[in-house]
Amino acid sequence: MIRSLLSAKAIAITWLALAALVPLIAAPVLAHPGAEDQLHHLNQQITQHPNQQKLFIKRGALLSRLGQYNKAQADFARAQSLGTPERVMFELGVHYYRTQQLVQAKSSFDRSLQHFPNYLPALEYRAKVHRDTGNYASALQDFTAFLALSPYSNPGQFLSVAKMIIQEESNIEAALLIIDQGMERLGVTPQLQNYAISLELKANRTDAAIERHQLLAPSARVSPGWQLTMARLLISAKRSEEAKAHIEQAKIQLVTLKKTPANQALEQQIQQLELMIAS
Amino acid sequence: MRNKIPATLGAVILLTVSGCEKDGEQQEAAATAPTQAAVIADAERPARLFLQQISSNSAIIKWRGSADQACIAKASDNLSSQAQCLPAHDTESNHREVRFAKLTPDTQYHYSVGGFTDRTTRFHTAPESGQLPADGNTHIWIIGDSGSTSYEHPKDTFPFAGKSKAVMDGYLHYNSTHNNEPLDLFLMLGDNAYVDGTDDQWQKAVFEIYTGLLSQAPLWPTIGNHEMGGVDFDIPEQGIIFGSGGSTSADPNSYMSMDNRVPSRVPYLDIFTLPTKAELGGVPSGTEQYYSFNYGNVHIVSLDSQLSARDEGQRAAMKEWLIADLSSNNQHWTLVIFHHPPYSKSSHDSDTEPSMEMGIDQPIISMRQEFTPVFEDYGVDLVYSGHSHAYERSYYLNGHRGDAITFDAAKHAELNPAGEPAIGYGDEAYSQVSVGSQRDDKVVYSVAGSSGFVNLGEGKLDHPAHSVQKNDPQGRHGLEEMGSVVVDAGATELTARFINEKGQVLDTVTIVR
Repeated sequence: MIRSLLSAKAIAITWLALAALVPLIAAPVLAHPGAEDQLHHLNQQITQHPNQQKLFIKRGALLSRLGQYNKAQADFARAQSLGTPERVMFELGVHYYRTQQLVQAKSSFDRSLQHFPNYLPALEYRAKVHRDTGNYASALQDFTAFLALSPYSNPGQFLSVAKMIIQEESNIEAALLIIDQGMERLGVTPQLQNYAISLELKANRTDAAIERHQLLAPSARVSPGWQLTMARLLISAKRSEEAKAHIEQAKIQLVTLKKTPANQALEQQIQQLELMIAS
Repeated sequence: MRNKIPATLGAVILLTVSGCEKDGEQQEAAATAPTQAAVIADAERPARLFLQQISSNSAIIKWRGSADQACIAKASDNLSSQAQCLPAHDTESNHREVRFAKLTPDTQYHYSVGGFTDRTTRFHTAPESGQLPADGNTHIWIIGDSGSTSYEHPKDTFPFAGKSKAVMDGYLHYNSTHNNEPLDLFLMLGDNAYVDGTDDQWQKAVFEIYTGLLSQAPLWPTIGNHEMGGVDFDIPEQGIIFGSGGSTSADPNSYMSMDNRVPSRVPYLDIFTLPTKAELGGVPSGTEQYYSFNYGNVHIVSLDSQLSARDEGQRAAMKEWLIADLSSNNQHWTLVIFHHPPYSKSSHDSDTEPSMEMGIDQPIISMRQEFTPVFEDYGVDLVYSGHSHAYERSYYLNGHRGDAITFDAAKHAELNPAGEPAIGYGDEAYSQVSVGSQRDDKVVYSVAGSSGFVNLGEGKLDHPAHSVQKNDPQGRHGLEEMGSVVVDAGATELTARFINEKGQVLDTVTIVR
């Protein structure tokens, strides 16, 4: 249904949404025009094509979102009888997840993925089911597969999974694997590499941390901050002469840069690092 | 000399799109029988045509339509016979694009797409990083919450129909009477396609409104709440209600519109081609949701306050990237854009309680408490947001993290000799190195969310961190006016102006270095 045919009531809702959402929710005249339209349309289609499985799947999913769970369940059951049951399993699983029937949800997503192993929404939902039921190993496996296959992801998603691994099982190698998977996909970014460096240091692998920090050099434009982090890592590795060179570079750079609080903090860091070397 | 923006751009565009009339330039081009099909007589303008990632040596021309190549030549060269042509490659949601490399810095180019060209199909490459453009100034136009054109409404019930275009015309009028500066950068602050940010709404509210500007200057957007469509709210005794702009998800794949409730990828990410690997300077972000770039002596950062800011882990990652990015930045001026304003008393209230009550406004608090310290520590000059549908512009601030009532001018603002907050223009222009602290630690925060309509809701424009506006009849800390912002960044001075739909300057703020 095209938007221009929406009722005046629907229009009022969207306009209020432009202004603010609280009045939108509180307004007494509110209805549910989008879903009503959809439901009406699906009802009509089902009347015309009473044996089309996909129509029942669609309506079941819509009814589930609307909170009409019994009707939704009935539609899913009917859909399973009209064609390949596995085609119903994803939406049925979402319905079970929504109603917190996690065992049934997992079973549905399992069946869906057996039939459509690369269907990403099912993989992500199953990961959530595993997480919510405390099965971290399986959650991790599904989240990892999801991140590997998802056409769109961002560094924060990889970082969150890596941090979950550290929090749950302190497995540095597994966390690094996720981080490196992210960087292979998205490129070397400071968000991911800095966390990887912190993990390398946690594992007492200073040389690996230095190597990783070196990889940030092109993107970090070798800023004074980068120089001083490198100096600190080199001091930890007992490579003081090399550290001094980086400190000198930072000093030269800072002369030309703005007098910001961050740059002033770097000047203080220089003093601390020089003291560390001297001692 | 660089090309000027035609003041009658809207009319020119209409004629070009309809194919009813060609200007002399086109007729001449058609007559020279192009050897590489760089120019074709009667070729139609693509349904959407826009520029992305214009750097000192590269440019992306992007469009939707059947054209399968784009051609480019220096403005001094003949587009028919001296053009470089490249085949298009397909990108998401039926877009096509060509990336041209090895261009000459600070140089005017003209181009054709599928043989189409007109007086708006030209752009200027950026100067080398750190350098000023030849005309001595980087000219930036900023609009926020401009998407009202795609808001479908019963006839005569919406007082802001056509106002997005009026705001653009106001800017063009202002520009035509002030040196007709060519547009270098076009920034959007989010909510640029109401109500759900569907592809169709982007077409109506952006590509069919700013047509001529989009084919001349690169567009740099940020994600607003309406870009993420909406969600179903389950309201007791009322049932399920779809709330446009109400998504609180951090997942770009959870986008839903009123007409399509099946979660899918947010159209915004399919429409734009944004830098993820520091292609134009800055530090690689690894995501199009937030990014940065350099243009001459200006560094611009676009943050994601809609998605990344809603998830603790993703927000921390974005902040970590921001610190790395700003640490390596040595441009003269730094400007940050994102949708949710840290300080506002307009249609959205930035105080903690109303923001948290609102649900969708949690990013306001996060951006204020977690990101403003970074802006102030790392030399950001200006921050622009939308979301609230009026104009507000702060004093020169540092350290104000709490609700409006906690604002203390003596503690949080640059003061004038009389001990009052300096107003930011005339004798009280701001200095990049603060007069008070003797270091670069202060930022101007501005809300420019009235480029499509103006609406205060329950707001009173009374946030004390925002400057009292002399052009407001009630002397409030903001302007209940439609308009947009023009930023001019020179070698030693940056000036930002709020321009209303009549082309009048209603507020000015200047920072000198």
